[in-house]
Amino acid sequence: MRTFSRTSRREKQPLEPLDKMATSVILLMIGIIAAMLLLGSQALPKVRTFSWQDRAVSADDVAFMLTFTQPVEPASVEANLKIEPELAGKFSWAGRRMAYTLAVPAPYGETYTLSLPEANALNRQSGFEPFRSEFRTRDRIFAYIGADGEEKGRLVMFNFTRKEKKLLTPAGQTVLNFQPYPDRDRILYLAASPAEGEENTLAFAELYSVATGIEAETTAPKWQIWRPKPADAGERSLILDNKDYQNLKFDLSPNGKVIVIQRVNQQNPADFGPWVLIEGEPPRKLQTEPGGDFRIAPDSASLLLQQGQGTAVIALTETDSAQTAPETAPETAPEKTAKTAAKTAATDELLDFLPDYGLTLDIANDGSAAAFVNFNQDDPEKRFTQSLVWVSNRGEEKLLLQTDGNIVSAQFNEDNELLYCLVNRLVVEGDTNYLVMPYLTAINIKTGQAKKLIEMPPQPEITVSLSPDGLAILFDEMLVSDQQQNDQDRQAESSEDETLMEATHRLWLLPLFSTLEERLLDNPIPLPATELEIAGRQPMWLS
Amino acid sequence: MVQLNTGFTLFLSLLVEAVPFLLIGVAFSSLLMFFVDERALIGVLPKNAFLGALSGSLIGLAFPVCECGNVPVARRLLVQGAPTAVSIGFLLAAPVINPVVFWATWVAFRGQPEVVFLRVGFTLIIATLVGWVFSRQPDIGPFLQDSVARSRFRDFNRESGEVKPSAPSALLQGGTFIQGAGDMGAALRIDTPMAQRLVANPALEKTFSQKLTLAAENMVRELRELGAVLILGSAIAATVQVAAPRELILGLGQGMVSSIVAMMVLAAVVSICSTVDSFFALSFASTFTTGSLLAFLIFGPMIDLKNIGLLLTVFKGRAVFYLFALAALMSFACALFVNLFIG
Repeated sequence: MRTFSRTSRREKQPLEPLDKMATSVILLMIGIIAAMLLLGSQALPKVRTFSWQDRAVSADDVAFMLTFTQPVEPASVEANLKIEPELAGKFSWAGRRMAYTLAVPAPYGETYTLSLPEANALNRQSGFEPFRSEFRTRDRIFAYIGADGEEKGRLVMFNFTRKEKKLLTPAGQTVLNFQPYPDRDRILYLAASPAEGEENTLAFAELYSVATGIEAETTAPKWQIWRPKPADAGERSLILDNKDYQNLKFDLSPNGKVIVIQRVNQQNPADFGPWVLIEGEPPRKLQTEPGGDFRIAPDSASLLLQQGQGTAVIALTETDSAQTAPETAPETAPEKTAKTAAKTAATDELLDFLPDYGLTLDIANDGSAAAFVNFNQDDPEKRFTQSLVWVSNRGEEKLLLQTDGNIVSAQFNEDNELLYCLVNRLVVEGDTNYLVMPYLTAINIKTGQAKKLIEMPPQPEITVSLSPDGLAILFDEMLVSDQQQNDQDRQAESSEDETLMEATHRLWLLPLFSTLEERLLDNPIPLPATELEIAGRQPMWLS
Repeated sequence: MVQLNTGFTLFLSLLVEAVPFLLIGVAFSSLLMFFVDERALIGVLPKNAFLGALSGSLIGLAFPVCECGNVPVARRLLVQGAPTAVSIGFLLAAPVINPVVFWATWVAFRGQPEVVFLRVGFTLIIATLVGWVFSRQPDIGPFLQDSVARSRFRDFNRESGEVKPSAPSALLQGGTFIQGAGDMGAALRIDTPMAQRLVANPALEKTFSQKLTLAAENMVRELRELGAVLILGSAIAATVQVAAPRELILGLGQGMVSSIVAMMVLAAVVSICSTVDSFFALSFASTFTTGSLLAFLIFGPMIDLKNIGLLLTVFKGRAVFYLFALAALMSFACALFVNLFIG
């Protein structure tokens, strides 16, 4: 202030124009603020955002969020919030934001209405702008390999909600196996295009992806027009050709970016093993001991590979910096392959080895546990039996099932509390006639209780697929005219084609729960399965 | 003891957060001095006070500096004879209207994009208005600190508010002499670093390497001076934060008016850099009204405790008070408007 007075004295001008102007603007602003305060609030407290507004919700969406313009009384919202049809769940609050976490995924193929007619603001302001919004869940869609007529051998997508069928692959291409991508915008499939009279289709199988035409239901707002439009249904692209190598079984990682495929050299059958295809990188052979069945872990970064009596866990991501050298095209030309192989002379990193578990059936979607088969080779008393073992990532172990038949497949439900298992039971008829009777059972992992859901007629191969909302199981039934065809050897995929010729295929839908209570308690009950009027095999739900 | 410890941690964290941006600011200021002919820039800026304030507010787009770094640049602009409206507009708006801050706010408030746009929009309006108010003063001299006022070029036409594009450099031989300040019009020997730093642009005709050396020297000097102020401001901010419990500040945050007042006080007290303050504000997003968050994001970068220290190196107390009062009232009005009418 001393400086100020000195200046004023020197300038001999106590009030500069700025002083006057600033003072009047300050007074004006005070007046405006006072007027606004006198007018009072013109905006009623209301819902600002609803995270599921007009969205197609999937089973991965476990909670929605409501944001209010002002802090509101939680009890008043909890009492008045209504979802039609009802969805069980619980509330949690963080200031102006409320989250509603669903107890179980919302059933697919429904439209829900959310309404909040009133709520109380915390600042004692009365009134509330009623809120009403809609959201829907994804359509129930599954894909299968057609078995009859023009669908034969082609990949078919069936929208169960709208009862619409779409043929995705062209005639003349025989689909052997497929797996949907996580965003269900594409399906990865292995198919051969055999020329007339050719027998060995497998040798020519190539890996493709085909667009489903379903819009990726991500959260990208509509105004982001630069987002790529979804490809038309049936738009195919070749992922891996059959040059030099035969393509066998494959697995797609949960994030849709890594493919592992079993390949064998056309000339040298000893050159056999899994290859890794990572988006944007050339295919490379996994440098490891030879193995059998495999499965990519939920983290999409490691592979569980059956090796001998155990399972090896192998890192899929690059550790060798030389590998990241840019390659122009993902070709499999011999020189290139040789170069790639030379670069990865070192073996891929072995993260872990699980000596007791021979086959990985399924891994919990959060990676917390896995279901393995123990072939009991070490225990003379249990020889020729199989055990289904649940192993958590903390090393806990639980024997869930012991059978003298074989455990075909197992699938965790969405909260990883239940394991649906397809088991082949051995039935002895007379002295020599062995029959394999498949049945589906649900095992509660906590209690270890198993509940048989359905028995199926004897058949060589069954595909079971649990719907993403966990409400129903889809399975195929293949009735082979030759009843002796009880071949247990499921690995012999090459023999599949001949048996397919005389088989009748049907798809069945098995509901798992009759009441909401059973659903909430994870307690499926045996219910009659419905036959779908569809001739197909290997049905699989799109997530 | 625990409080002292917390206080010291806060002090250090504020400092660590702010110093890089202070460095960037000082670097820009020095480069601006030695490599950009501001007189040309000032020459192309609109003569109209209102447009000048607006364009001054937008200069920040080219200079990603936060409030710790914009004061030296604003001072440079003033010394170079830029219209007051331009300098004030830049001083208030640059910490917000710049790509780095816009990006940081967008990252933090992606869920409420309106916050990002309202922050930028209101800042622009307030900075332009305050710049316009200050442009009512034909010669800002009496409101500047003596050292700044002395080193300003006075070939400034009081009547028209225009800058004469002629004059300066010819009289500056090797940066040793300067066209004299005050009404004397005499050439002054520059023998103190202070005066040399504040000189307009003695280096435009120099070679690149000389310019670079000068720029580096200038950076060091400015960093020393502004760094000291920053340290003091950070110490005060840390002390106040420890002394006044956060709970008390937060307790005020439920109402329409009290939440805005609380957040503005917090903004002034916390003195957090505009590049990172949106993350700080985000932690209050669930408990405070949108208007109060905006008040924090608008008012904080314009004025806070350590900034006042920096401002006092340029302006006299009276001018700083006007800046503070105008910015505070306008921010409050904007925030109140959002709370009451937008919701």
